[in-house]
Formats: sequence, C-alpha cells, structure tokens
Amino acid sequence: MIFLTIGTQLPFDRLVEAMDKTAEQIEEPVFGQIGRSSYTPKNFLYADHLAPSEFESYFAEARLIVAHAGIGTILTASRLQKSLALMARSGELSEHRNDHQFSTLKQMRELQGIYEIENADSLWRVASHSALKTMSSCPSPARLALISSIKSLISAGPTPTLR
Amino acid sequence: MPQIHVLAIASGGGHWEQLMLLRPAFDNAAVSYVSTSKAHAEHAGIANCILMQDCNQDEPRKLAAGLLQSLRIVRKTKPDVAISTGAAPGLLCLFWARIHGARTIWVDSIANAEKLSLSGRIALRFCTIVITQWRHLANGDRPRYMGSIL
Repeated sequence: MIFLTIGTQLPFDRLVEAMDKTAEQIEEPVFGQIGRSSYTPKNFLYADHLAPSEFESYFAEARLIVAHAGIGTILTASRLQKSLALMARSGELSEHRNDHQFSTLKQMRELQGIYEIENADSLWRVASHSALKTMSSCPSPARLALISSIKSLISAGPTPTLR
Repeated sequence: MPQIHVLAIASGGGHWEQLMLLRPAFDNAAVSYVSTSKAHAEHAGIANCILMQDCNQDEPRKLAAGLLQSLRIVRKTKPDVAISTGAAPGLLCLFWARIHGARTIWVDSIANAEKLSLSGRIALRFCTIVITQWRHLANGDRPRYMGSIL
C-alpha cells in the first residue's frame, strides 16, 4: 500500500495529480490524505483529513510514503523507518510561501530511504521499484558529525574569563 | 585534569528527543540534565534530572518564574558548558550560564527548516555557539551548520 500525504496547511495539486497518474499504472493500492486539493483523484481512495490515529495507522502500514518535503513527515518516516518519496513545494507556483522545501530536500535526499521526485514519471519509477530502502534507525553520517563537533566544543571547557 | 561539567537542557517533546540523540557527545563529561517533563527523564533512564517549569514568550509570568528557576539551577550546578536543544527554558539557562562564564551552545531544533527559531535568533545575541541543523540556514559562523540529528 502506498500512502500519500500532503500536509494539512496548503493544497498540493501537482503531487496529487502525479500520484493519480501513477496509481493508474500500478497494481498496488494507494490511499491519500489530500487536504484542500482542488484536483479530484480518479484512481485511488482519499480523505481530505485524517485523525492522528488513522494517519499513524496508514503511515505504519504503507510500503511507501509519498509526500511533500515537510519536516514533520520526514521525522515520522524516520521514526517508523519508512521509504519516502518527496516532492518539494514550489514558492513560485504558490505551493508554499517560499522555496525552503527545495533546500530541505537537498539535504535530506542524502539519507537512506529518501527518494526525490519531480513529477509523475519519477514517482512511477520509485513506486514500481521492488526493493526500496527504508529510513534507518542507525545514526546517519550527519548525526555522527554533529555529535563529534559538540564533543569537541565541550572539551574546550568554559569560556576564558576577561580580566 | 578535572572532568568538564555540562548542563544539558531541553523541554519535553521533540526538543528532548533531539537532546537524547546527542548524548554520545557528553561521554567524556559529567552531565546534569534539566527537563520540563519528569516522564521524559524517567523514560530515558536519567536519574536526578532537574525539573524546570515549562514557559514560553506568550506567558510573561511563567517566563519570569523560569528566569528565577534557571538562575537557581545554574548557581547550584556551576557548569563549565551549557547546551540546549530548546526551547525557552533552555534559553534562560544558557543566559545565566553565559553570565557565569560557561561556554554556551544552542542547537536549533531540526523542526526549524525554514528559518532559525525565535529562541535561536535571541541565542545569536549571547551564546558562544549557535548551531542550525540545516545547511541553507547557516550564516558563516553564526549560526553554524555542524551536522544534524537526521
């Protein structure tokens, strides 16, 4: 099962439409939380809103999560060790206030289990992949770097006192 | 050489989770933890966690109480280094720690992917080091990108 989630704040018709095109071409069932989209899916079941327990349930059950590049979704996928296909919301297309999701995605796509998608074609490629990697519970290189940096900073001790 | 004493502060929830993920950084130090949630501390198996009342900028009375509590905590623990992953209670502790000559480290939450948090922006004014977990939010040395928990 593939679970689509676009967040609760803003519509994301471009992603919902890409999921719809892909759903038509694959066997796997798809369920979507599509919020305030004006695009109506024809090839998968959807709800505009899900209660937290329902959301968690779909998320946990899915083989693949398809989502906007929101940090909340990424943290949930990390916690549940899921495979995540992410499309960044564009500020230019009024999908968000600005382009920060592109920056988010640029850093996050380094992580195991995160796949970057731009359109229906790239989404189809990820969705039809039989052996997707999942987000790992092991510390990433980025986390190890942060830990190591903080350890060094601590070893310097207190700040020198001014006379 | 005497062991370095670290004061590590985080509010409950995501801030605390991130602090817990950074624990290996404290391996060579003596650590005193401060949290706003006893349950979180117990869940992480931390004995003697100092508890502080939660507070934020929307409740001035609680903020004032927090200011006093954090001063007491810093006076009692006399840390060499103080580090916080947020939120406001952590900032208050870092403030007093700075005044008492400690090295102060603010780690902005990974949740702030669009811009530095308000507390983080205030931290820029006085903390020894301010860290963002997003490369695109780094601004030279203040704030610095040094990695991220994800």
